[in-house]
Amino acid sequence: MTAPLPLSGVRIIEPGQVWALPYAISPLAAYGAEVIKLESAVRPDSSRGSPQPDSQVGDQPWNNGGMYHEANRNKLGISLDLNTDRGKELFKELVSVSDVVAQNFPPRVMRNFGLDYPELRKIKPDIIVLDSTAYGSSGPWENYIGYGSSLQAVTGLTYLTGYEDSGPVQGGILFNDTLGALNATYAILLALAHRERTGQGQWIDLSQYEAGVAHLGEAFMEYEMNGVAPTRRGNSHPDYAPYGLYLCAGDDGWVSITVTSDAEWANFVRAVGEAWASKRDWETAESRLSQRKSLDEAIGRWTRDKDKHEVMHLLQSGGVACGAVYNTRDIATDAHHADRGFFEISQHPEPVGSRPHSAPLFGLTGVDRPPDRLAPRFGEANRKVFQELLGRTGQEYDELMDQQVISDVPANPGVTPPPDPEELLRMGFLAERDLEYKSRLGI
Amino acid sequence: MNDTALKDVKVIDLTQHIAGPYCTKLLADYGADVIKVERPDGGDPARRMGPFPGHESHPEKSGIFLYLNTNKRGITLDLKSDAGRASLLELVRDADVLVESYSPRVMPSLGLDYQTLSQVNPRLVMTSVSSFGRNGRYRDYRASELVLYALCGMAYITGEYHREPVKHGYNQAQYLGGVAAASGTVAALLGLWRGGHGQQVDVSILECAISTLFTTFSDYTYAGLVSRRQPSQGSSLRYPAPTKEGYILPTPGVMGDWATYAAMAEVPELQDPKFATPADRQLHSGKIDDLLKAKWLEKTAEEWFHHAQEWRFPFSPVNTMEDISGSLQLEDRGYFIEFPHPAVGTLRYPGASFRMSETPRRQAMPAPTLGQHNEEVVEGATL
Repeated sequence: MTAPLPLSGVRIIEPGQVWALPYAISPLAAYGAEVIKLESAVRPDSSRGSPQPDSQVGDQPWNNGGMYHEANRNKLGISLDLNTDRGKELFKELVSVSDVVAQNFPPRVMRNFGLDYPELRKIKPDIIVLDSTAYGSSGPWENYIGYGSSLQAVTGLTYLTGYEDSGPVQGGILFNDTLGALNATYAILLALAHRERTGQGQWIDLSQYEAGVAHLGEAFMEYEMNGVAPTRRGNSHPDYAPYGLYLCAGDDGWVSITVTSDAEWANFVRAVGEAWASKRDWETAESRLSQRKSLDEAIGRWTRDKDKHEVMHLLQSGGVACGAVYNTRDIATDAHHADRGFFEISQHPEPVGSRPHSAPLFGLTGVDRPPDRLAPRFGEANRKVFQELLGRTGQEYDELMDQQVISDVPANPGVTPPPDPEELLRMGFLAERDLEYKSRLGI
Repeated sequence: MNDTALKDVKVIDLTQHIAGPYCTKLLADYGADVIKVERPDGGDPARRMGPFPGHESHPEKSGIFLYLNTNKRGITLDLKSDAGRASLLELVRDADVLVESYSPRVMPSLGLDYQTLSQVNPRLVMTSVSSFGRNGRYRDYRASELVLYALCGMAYITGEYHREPVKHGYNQAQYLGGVAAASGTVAALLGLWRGGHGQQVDVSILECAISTLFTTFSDYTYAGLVSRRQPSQGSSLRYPAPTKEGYILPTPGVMGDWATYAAMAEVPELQDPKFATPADRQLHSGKIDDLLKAKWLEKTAEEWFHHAQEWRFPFSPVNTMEDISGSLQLEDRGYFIEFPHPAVGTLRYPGASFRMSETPRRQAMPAPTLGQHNEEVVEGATL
């Protein structure tokens, strides 16, 4: 027996950019919400163009970017110029028939448009408005801007990432955008739950700075309890050894091995099955920790001529926590993800073609989630929204087009030619350019 | 007095360590009545994880446990005994939600799989958060934060070019799993209230960690490009740069144009046409580094932060926990909360990740001592 989609009948307007907001809304769209993504022709979502299929800028490149398709499936797309009076009027009309407005401009933008929460609730008293900002909608930094990379630094994560003997390191590209997105999804669901039971809407002020610090609670508690700011410790753990990465065979191949109990160490010794591992000195946690260096060297000698995947499966079968250091190719082609259907292939028009995208991060096993609908082309749902939903006539629609209040084509697509992959490879920015990737992905 | 969003939602919490407790903390902080069930012999293993005041281990003084378990009541039950399981089933009968974070084999082996629990309570939402998810060939594999960072692809692209990959500090994957599990729980409750029925929610912490890759993952699936740890050329734009005092992250951002960036940084040489496009800048990144790295040393990180923000560039200082503790922005917004706990006294804790105007985060009740609410909850169940 399957239940209706939990968000069916909920309409969300998403004036959202890049990742932190669009990705927050994407599971809500997958589970039934009608999401209207709103862009302006002058400043379309800058994720639309990247990365281009096979690094070739084709026709309408703003409809072809991989990151855009990852975060915007199952949504409707409209364009609306909020700088115009008619644009603002149409936005308010849309709000009057919607449940949620979720946006990630800095606080001054919607305020200057006269479209912030105090204004919108006059039009729709039970509206839910989420403002996702870098630093929150008040305080001395309220108008400061930040991207995922900036947030990683200001929240303390950058300082706490890196090698023990070297400076702070940025992890990944825009990590904190996803962190902000996951928190925004939860906040909207809470507000919908409250409205479901009481009929009351509300305003959510999400500061990605604050959300990021909340994910470092124990680091903050360390400072609060002992007055010393914690610092970087590479991949090591204060209480356990072995706990680290070990070099394997092949180009830049690594495996992680972590042993967090004496029983798990016994599993390790049994799985390795070689004399060097059964050293009496290493049977207790204290001795392994104090002899961490010689232990790591011995394990490194054992792994260095072995394949990272083989080490992982050998040790895991023996009951040891172990994982190969995966690159994006390893992830996209891993059998476990295929077993779970984590990547789902969608068929797009050329030049995109068929591509895998990831499923929502929470699986509701009691509902039948319908197959994904493609992310909208720029302005794709203009007619549906402005004529069918808001009742504009064909003539009025054409006028809005002529006055460029709405548009089917971005005035400023913002798609720049990507760097030549061969040059990036030569300079060391890429590990590999895999010419067989499509056959590996089965697309 | 305000309502809470999850008022009257009763949650049985069988979680331990970080991801599961963070999920139930998020439910509890926004109003759910969370009953944390711990094993009688020692309780949640997080009680033995640091930090501790004075670095001395004590089961009621773990900083991570105290942080992750605010607003919950705590009881002890031995789920390996018939009596313990019977008490749990009694609790489940009246609950709306059960959250568990065991390895997927454990609940069925205790006779507490979703099928059994849903017979006791057909409207139950059961949320299972695990390292690899409820199915798939790695379901029973073991994990740690480092193993998850290896498998999620984040370690491979993080660190210095010639050195080993490195994970993010602390337990980022666990927290992401916790938030996704909280979302799944409330989405399932919403479905139930809107005419649906109970169901099981499945969250894989690994998948949550993979979702943070977004740009590099599409680089592979759209173009076959495999990212790695980056060479140091171009690091003056991407990585923390030493200043006169502290490190700054001098992000040019995607919106700002390059000529304005050059003017803001007060380095006119950067306006040379050979640096015009992002692709040009990547190719000439070594030259850009030479120009900028010397420049960053002329001001402190704090000065560069405010200077660049006035020009609308998203620079940020590389903060330590001491900086965060003294942050004027966080202080102005009243972010930190402070309350007493019987074992550690009054401490400051990080507050809400987001502010809700009508259903704000609850006033904090400190984390429970082991078995603190045994009598109260058992009596409540029999009333």
